[in-house]
Amino acid sequence: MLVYIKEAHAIDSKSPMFRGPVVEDPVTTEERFGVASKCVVDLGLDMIPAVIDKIDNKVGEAWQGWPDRLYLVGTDGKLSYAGGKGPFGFNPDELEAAIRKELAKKAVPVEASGTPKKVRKL
Amino acid sequence: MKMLGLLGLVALIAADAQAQERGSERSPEAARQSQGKNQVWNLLARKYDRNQDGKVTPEEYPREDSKFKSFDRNGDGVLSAKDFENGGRRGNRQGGNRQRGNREEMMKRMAISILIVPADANKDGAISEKEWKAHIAGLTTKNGDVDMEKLTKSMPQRGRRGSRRGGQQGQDEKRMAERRQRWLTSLFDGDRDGEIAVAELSTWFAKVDKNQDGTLGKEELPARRPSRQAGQRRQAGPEAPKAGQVAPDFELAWLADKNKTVKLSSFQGSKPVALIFGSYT
Repeated sequence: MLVYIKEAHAIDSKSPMFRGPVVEDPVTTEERFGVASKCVVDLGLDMIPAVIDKIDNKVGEAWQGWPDRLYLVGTDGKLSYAGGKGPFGFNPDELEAAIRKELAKKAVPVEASGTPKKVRKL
Repeated sequence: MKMLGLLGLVALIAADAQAQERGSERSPEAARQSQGKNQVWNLLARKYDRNQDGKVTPEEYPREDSKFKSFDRNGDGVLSAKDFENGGRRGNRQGGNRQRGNREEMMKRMAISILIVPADANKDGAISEKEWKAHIAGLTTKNGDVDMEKLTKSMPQRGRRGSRRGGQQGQDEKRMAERRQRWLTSLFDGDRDGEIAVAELSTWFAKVDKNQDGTLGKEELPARRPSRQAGQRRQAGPEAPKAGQVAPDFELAWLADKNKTVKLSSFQGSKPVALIFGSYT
């Protein structure tokens, strides 16, 4: 599941980047929906279910997800994998390994839809 | 022979043309940045330049003032393509009082500001001329020069405090101190005798005292960043959840259907959930 959070490098933020997508920092949840839609379409991520953090950024902060981060929540509701802070800690290979491990635990195989095997760097 | 000569000439011209092109050619990274900046201007113009006069005025720009200011690199009060031209560095526009012109002058002021701060004996955030003179007197050697070791020791120290002494730490501190001494000497040793005369430092009080009220107040001194106490952690806010911990629950709307929300905890017992936090930029 993609959790779309506060922009990492909006052009009018404290850390603008002039390469890559030119995006103003959303100031409403509605605006963020707009940017997230564009992102998902442009990057071809529509196969991953996505939720949008509200503009108060509460979920992003609770999970320290900014600028990007990977986690795996096990069926027991506990974290079986907690990645490091991006960009250096953002490691899709680690997540993949964690997913495989988690799936191997179960006696009954779980369908893999919704749990992406390959994660493109956002 | 003539042909060769002609060929040689052509080759020379070609090489020269190439060299010229290379001279004006930017690195690929710079080119990308420049292109990116143009895209930023295009976006701003498209969204906000209502009267299409090639400028975005503060009235046309609906967002925060601070954002407008950060775009207005040339400080002319409007946003235009000029603010996003290549090589448009964030100029001397920052802060009203930024020193222009003489770089050495600026360095000296900076150094003095740092030197002066420890002179605040009563810690009231302001330094009177009396405090300054007393401070300097304490740093003066018999022959009227400044004791460089004492001076650098009196300056606010950078780097970690309260960490292990001796060994590498001691060496690093020593090297830092020496570097500072050399820097200060190079700035203030007017007569090049390797020493800073107290007189040289004293005159600087008047220069830093911009409003000439005999005291250096907060406006005249550099803004101090609150120094971290030994053992005090940086305020990082909530810590990231760790493996093994219960996943903090949340309820958020789906991108695909903003009228429907989902709770993370609803997956418990049925399937694991991989979470990818991120954004387009």
